[in-house]
Amino acid sequence: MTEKGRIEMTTPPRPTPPLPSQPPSSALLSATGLCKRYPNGVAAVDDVSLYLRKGEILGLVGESGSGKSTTAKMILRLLRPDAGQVIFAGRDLATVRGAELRALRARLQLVPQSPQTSLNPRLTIGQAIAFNLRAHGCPRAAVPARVAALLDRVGVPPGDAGRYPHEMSGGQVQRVALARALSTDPELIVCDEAVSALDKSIQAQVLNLLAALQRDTGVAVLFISHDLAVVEHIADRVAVMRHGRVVEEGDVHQVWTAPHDPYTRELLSSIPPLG
Amino acid sequence: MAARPEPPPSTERPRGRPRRRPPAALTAGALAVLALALTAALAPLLPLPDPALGDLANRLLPPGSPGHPFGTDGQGRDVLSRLVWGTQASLLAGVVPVAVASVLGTLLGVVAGLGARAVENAVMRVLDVLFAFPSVLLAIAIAASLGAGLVSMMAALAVILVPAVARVVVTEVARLRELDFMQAARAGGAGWPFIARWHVLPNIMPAVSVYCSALVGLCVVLGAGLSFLGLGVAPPHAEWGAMVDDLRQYVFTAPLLALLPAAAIFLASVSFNVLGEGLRRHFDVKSRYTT
Amino acid sequence: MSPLLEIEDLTVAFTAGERTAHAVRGVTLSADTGRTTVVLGESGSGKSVTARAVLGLLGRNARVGGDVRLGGESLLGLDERAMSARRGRDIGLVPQDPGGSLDPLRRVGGQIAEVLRAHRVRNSRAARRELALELLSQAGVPEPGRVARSYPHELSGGLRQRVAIAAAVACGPRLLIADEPTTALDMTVQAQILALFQRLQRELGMALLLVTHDVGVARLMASTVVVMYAGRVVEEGPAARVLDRPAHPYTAALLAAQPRPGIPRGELAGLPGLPPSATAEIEGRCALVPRCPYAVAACSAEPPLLAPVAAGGSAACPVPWPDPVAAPGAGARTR
Repeated sequence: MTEKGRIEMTTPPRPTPPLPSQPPSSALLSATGLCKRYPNGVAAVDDVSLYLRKGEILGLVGESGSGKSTTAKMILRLLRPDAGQVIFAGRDLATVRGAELRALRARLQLVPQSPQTSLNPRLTIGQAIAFNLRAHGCPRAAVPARVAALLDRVGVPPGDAGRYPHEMSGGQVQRVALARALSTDPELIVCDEAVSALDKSIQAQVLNLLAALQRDTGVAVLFISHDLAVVEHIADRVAVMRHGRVVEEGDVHQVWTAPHDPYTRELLSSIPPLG
Repeated sequence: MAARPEPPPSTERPRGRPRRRPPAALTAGALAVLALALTAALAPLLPLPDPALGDLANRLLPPGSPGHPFGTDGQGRDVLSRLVWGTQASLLAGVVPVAVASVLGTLLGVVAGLGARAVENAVMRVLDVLFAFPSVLLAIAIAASLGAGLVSMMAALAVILVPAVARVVVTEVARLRELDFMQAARAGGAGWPFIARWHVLPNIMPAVSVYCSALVGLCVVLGAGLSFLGLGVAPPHAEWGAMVDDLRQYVFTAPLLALLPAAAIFLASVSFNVLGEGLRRHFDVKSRYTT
Repeated sequence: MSPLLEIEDLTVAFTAGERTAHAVRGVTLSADTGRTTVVLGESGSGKSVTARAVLGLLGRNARVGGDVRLGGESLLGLDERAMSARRGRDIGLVPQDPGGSLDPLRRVGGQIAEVLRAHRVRNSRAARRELALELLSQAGVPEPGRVARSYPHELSGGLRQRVAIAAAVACGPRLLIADEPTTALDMTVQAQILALFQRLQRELGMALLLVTHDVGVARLMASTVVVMYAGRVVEEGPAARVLDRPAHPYTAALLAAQPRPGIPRGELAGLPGLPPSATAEIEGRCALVPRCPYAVAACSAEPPLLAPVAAGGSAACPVPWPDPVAAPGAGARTR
């Protein structure tokens, strides 16, 4: 039974390599030809193209140094790409400025990785969410009720709004980070290894929550992870990155059962038996 | 502001955060600084002789003389009275420049740290130029060009402290900028005034306030130095630095007398440093609450 | 004959001021030559503290009770000097973060040679150097000569872990303790390092005590699995039995929480809530009670005792409960 889920991996590769699928015209986000070099000239990201449809979960998988976080930063406009462009909701992110950029960014939120740093240590968790609400123009008087509703939505008792992040468990902190991201009713959430640091039983809770929120709100998710099993569970499509390039992209179950790229196969065979 | 509902009573474990007692250093430092401030404020009410009025018949009386517990100076003025009155000018010289510099320096540092690369570069180069001058010389030059007096002395000190504060702030902001919650805030479209107000200021306040309270001690000493050079408080008025200058000529004939204003400078400096250390411990959120 | 390592009713409490954290609350387990015992648990379960207790590396404010025996000799009574003679020679340790166990300012070859010198395995410098290279190549290090001359920061995480493993087995220990040795590594590197552990254990005939939070790693490596929760053993037994037919709801939940093909999105079975903190008072009752969907009144009143399970091993749950792995959908759902 330890071979379960691995037998398929020995399936011979499909004869024709699937080209990176063309972004449909309805894509919510499409990144094309993204490149970023480190100051020493090494390419961190080398001609990466990705797209996400509305309400879709795209897994971005890779090992450390594969360029997946750098790609995410370029998509979020935290890093300026050396080449390539990011189109979100029909707008080129690089050309938008000022109030228009802020409005666009409200629709594009980030859930970071580490429970230790994803929330400001000097704000209570209520303030952490209130911040995002206020930053996007929620009237002061409406904030407490919205904060309570959002906390309740992610399964944190609203009575905990006055607590500080270091008083909460890692799973609770990541739930609050999710609530903060949801506070602007975004169309796309980027989860950068958002559940990777959590214990498995807590991770399961947060994954279930993410799936439920996604289903209810229809938000699209760019789910970055090194864990293929988690991505297989949560994502619709997956892009596998190695050495700054996307080596394989496609439907997550197809990639899982019949990986085309040798590296994807190696990655899959490295997963310890899941039972 | 944020929602801060009172935590409901819990069945599992107490949710209340018992606040730890304030750190001893904070209490001690705050009391010492308060005492200094009170001394300055109450000087006119205390039953002291006129600090500017000399009595040449009774010059250079040793400490402990009747009517003059700390003795008299070269012009027969009461040293205790001059020390107490001098607290006003000396504290002002210590606190005002630091307050001004901390506001300006924080502003510059936050703008440099959060602004575009070009803004950061511009601010940093200006700071580098200011840093290139030896600060004491710069202060002397500024004070000299503005003319002697308490105000020009404070202005000179503020100018030389701004780059020091800004440098600390820029470093802190650069560290913060890379943290996940800052990235989330930037990526999430929060404008920089919001980020500065909610995320940056609360996180740099500990470092800045600690650094600044240490600067007050330094500033009292620097201010005393400027007065000593004749660039500070004009002669009839009492100021500790000017008193050191005045009494140093008697350092061999009346050594105890010459030491008194120096001791006052030392005490004020230590008080502010202790306050700074107390603030540092107080701002440590994680130790402030039991975990 | 008794097993090589026997841990009997081990308790570890850390005191800081008035607070006492009960990290280990009575753990009994054993590890035998040629076998791999996996201690499986999540953070705060006490698994790492248990491993550190064997090495006597708990620090001064730890209070340790119970007994730890290696080859029949009690280790807890030994003084620091006797203990450090056994560390490295009889018991090797592979830590989670090799960066932390290697001196950043010294070449790694010299650090392995240092271990050999401290335990007088070789007496001449040249012989030690030679053996260090041999150990590195045994640990699957390509170009051992070049790596031996490197500083830790010049090596990748996988190579550093191989160096740490070479150092840990340098003196031919009878027992090798690996504390989350692959948690910080990439998946492909983890697979290689786990294969290395398997090979070394075969070649050197050691007992391997592997601490992990990863059910998959346990499945791959374990002969025996010991599942810990809140400082106690909740279940132990042959790996195949424990991981396929768990007899404790916690083990079952841990297995069910692992995402794998076939589970609909967002329907991972797991446990609600959080484990109790180490300062919580849970004497005389099952620590899983607030989270366990099968708990009955007796669970809060009686101490959970390990009782034999028909198919092998033992579990500390007297309540008959449906196995959520066997019957998908029957398990406790988290929201």
